[in-house]
Amino acid sequence: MDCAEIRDQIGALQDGELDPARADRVRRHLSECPECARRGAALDALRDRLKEPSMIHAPSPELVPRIRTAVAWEAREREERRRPVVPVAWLALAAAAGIVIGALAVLQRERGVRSEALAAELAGDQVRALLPGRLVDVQSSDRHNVKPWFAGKLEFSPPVPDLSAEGFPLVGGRVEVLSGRKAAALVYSRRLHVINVYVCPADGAPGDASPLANGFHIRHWKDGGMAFWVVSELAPNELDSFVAMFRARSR
Amino acid sequence: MPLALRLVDDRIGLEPIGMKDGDSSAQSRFDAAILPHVRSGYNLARWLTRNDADAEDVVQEAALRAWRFFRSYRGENARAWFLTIVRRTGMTWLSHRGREKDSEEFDEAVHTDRDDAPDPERLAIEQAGVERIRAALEALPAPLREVVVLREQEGLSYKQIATIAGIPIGTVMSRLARARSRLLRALSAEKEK
Repeated sequence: MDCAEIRDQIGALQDGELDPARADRVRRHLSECPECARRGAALDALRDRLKEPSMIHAPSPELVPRIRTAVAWEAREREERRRPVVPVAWLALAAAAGIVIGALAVLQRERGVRSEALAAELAGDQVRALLPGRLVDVQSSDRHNVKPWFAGKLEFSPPVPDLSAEGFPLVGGRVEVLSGRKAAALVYSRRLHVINVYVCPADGAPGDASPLANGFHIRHWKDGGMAFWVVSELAPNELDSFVAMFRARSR
Repeated sequence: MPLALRLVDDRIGLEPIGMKDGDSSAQSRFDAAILPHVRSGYNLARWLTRNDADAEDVVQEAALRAWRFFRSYRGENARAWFLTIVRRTGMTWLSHRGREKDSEEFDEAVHTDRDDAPDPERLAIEQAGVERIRAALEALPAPLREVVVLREQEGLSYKQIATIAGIPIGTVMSRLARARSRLLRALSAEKEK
């Protein structure tokens, strides 16, 4: 064996990946050839350097939670697809009830259809917003920073009340698309919970949404030409008091 | 990131929102098997993509794929199983990126390593700054870079690397030899730069 052939096997020998016969041959050569022995020493030094802790990249602490959230989100979607359509007994009951409320339903239909889709959309936004880095584009607890931030991005100016004294500090804001329309998303927090407030002009805005979707509570109202939706996993009574304060402070 | 948001993340980390019973056992098995290897996956992805944000995206995408295919996981070496997915995702990412900037072209057949004065090599390597070693590794073509990372940093056997990269064991050996040879050359020859 010549040196060139040996050189390609020194690393494998050091890795313990050569069969015994070849390992023997390479070892014997190394003991006789100072040049290849130096090569072996250099390879050892290289290995040590490549293994140094500073050569190994560590993820940010947010990566694992982010993955868990993404997996939980997928798991939930999968579960929803799997859920049986409607049991037969319920169909019979629904048919009977349907006769009674049919007339009302006709009046409400358009709104009703939209409200469930909208609720699902709001809940989806909420889950995505909870992924790290997605919650706010402008991060500030000062309404005087958040309100002007929207100025260049939206054709309207959402009210941004300061509710920190009431225990709902402002976290920041971002722009969302809600049923195809641009909306301001204001983010408040309550202890560990996040509250998203979506605001857009009431004119032509989507209407009310179902009050509950995917475990999130949703509230809707209109004030001063603006439509509002609040989404949070906060308990309903706390969410209602948040809404009351928000409305009072934004007038 | 303010404390409130970090706590929100932690809370989600502990208890994924809206988790359904049907999937919770699959999810906890997934968490136990795969999440401990996110670090290894990230290291590989980071060396492949050569930047933090893309590496995190690759690992998250790989984790979602792992979750989708978790049913096909048969309890084999979870790290190797996950690294296989990370690697494939990372390589796909690289191919969408088009030709890699700054790294050499890779051609399996070419074999031009000449022996150039190995005497001061060891010293040069021991004294090289971390940044230079990092740059030398990043400059390798991705197929050489990955075998180095899997072998030296993840401590995997040639057989495991062969499985992860989908190549024969002999190819693992020859790629490693070439990769090391190029690293030695880069670290000793460019000393003056």
